[in-house]
Amino acid sequence: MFTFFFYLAPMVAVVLMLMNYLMSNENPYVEKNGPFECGFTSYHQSRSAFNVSFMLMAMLFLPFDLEMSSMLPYVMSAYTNGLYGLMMLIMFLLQLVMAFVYEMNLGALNLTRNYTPMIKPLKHYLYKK
Amino acid sequence: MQDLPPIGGYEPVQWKRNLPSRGFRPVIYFWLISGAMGYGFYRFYQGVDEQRELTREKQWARFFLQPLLIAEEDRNTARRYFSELKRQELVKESMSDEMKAKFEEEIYHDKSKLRLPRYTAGGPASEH
Amino acid sequence: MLNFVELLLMFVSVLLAVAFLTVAERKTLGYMQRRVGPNAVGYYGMLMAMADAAKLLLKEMVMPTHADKLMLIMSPMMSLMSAFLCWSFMPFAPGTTMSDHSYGLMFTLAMSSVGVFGTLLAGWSANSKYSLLGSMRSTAQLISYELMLTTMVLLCMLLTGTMNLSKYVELQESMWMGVPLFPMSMMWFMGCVAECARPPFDNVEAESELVSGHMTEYSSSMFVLFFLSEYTSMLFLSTLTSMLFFGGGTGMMLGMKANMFAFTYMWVRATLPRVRYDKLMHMCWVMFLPLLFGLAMFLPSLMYFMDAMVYTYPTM
Repeated sequence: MFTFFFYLAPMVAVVLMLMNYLMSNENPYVEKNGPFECGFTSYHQSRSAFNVSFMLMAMLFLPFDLEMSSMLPYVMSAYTNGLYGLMMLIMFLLQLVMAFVYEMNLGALNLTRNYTPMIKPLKHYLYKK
Repeated sequence: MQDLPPIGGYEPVQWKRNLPSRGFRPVIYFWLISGAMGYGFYRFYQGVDEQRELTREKQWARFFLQPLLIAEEDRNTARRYFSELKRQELVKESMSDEMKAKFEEEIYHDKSKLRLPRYTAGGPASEH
Repeated sequence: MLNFVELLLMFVSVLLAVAFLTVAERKTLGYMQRRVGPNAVGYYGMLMAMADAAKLLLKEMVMPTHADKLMLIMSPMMSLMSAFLCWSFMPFAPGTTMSDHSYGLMFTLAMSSVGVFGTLLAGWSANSKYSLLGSMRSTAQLISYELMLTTMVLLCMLLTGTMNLSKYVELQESMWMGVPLFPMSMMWFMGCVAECARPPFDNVEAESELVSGHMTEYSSSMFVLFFLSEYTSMLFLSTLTSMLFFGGGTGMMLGMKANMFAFTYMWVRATLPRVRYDKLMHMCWVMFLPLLFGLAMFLPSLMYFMDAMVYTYPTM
């Protein structure tokens, strides 16, 4: 039954669009069809550069999403894995937390860039000579 | 002539609102929620115990049913095997000689393995 | 044959639920702002949604000249599909589900994350500044909050040891998961509001800055598809809230719980002002995510030492 539901959802979308296409009247002209702008005609600037922090956010999403998918098998077999699985999970998460703390310290999660040195000195050495 | 701030500057703006605090003290909320969570975990553990018992029961039911299920499966396999033999005989009857010679050639030359058919051509078992 | 009738019934009821949810939202917002809201069409404005749908379907389908036409048409379909397919493993009563699969919850998670592509492609294909900005914002927001919600679902799955939602509801007979996980259920609710891009967190289509976010260039039926998918996922998330944390239920009971949560979305919308975008992202990444990491280490340890891991195997 799921298979039919899988087909039904896009079919409904197509039917709606087709109905609209058949029923509606059309009166296109340049100003209407152009990209939306507040009162003046937009020239080709639409695909402009965007802030790099959005890209950074997407990049940061990847390792954490991978983390989710690596936690999933443990979550489903927690009883069977016992203490060994638990220790592995906690070690894995601790490593991730360390990396996360490093990221937060770098200011990679801040969307607002004030063009001031935001990077605090991180003590990455274990001892000083 | 522009209005300038008074000499010595304005009074400090009192931006902090002095609202009366409502409800209990925060500590009381904390302990209330912790208590509710503790009770929740207690009931949850009871539920887990029950669930384990149900799973155990289900598994033992399965273990006791296992011989029956294996017998059923074997019966099915045997039915398929014999019906396949019968089908081959039926096919052989309506063949030309060279086709029959080709048909009777062995497909598998390894006799150490038993290969059971995975499909039947005929109808249900009652017809055979 | 009866199966198909059931399927259609479910589909139509989801659509109708969405339609009446929009009317309910307008009515609720109206009364919260001391006005009546829609009251002319049908009894007390009940048929307002039908009238809106009819109006939108009769409108012209504007195709922006510089747009990527294929992507423009594909993206609302994608978001609609992802919103509808989320419902396919939702048990409305014991055994009353479209597909009672032992990995249903995982499919649901996967489908809800596919919805991001719809908004992303919509913003890119329309070739308008507002669309692009809106889709950038909404993509960043949706993936961040999806991360959060997925972690919470994983923790819930840890507690009940199953990915089958029917089984999950059955396991909550002893205790609603919202009681032991009360703080997490509050976080879940906030995450849901952000995931739907509902008003306190609706920076993706902030009317005063970006005209309508990624939907700026969409008109008539394509807009309807986006609208449908938005409200469907809102209803879905409120149903999932009642199922994950508040015991699910059978038929009417589940419906009432889900409606209660759907009402809270409107209540929040009428009450709170919009949050600044960087504060929103900050809340996700710097407040919720570390908390969830902590929980993801704490909860399994607690369960191990209390000997409370649920023992099930996936085929059961």
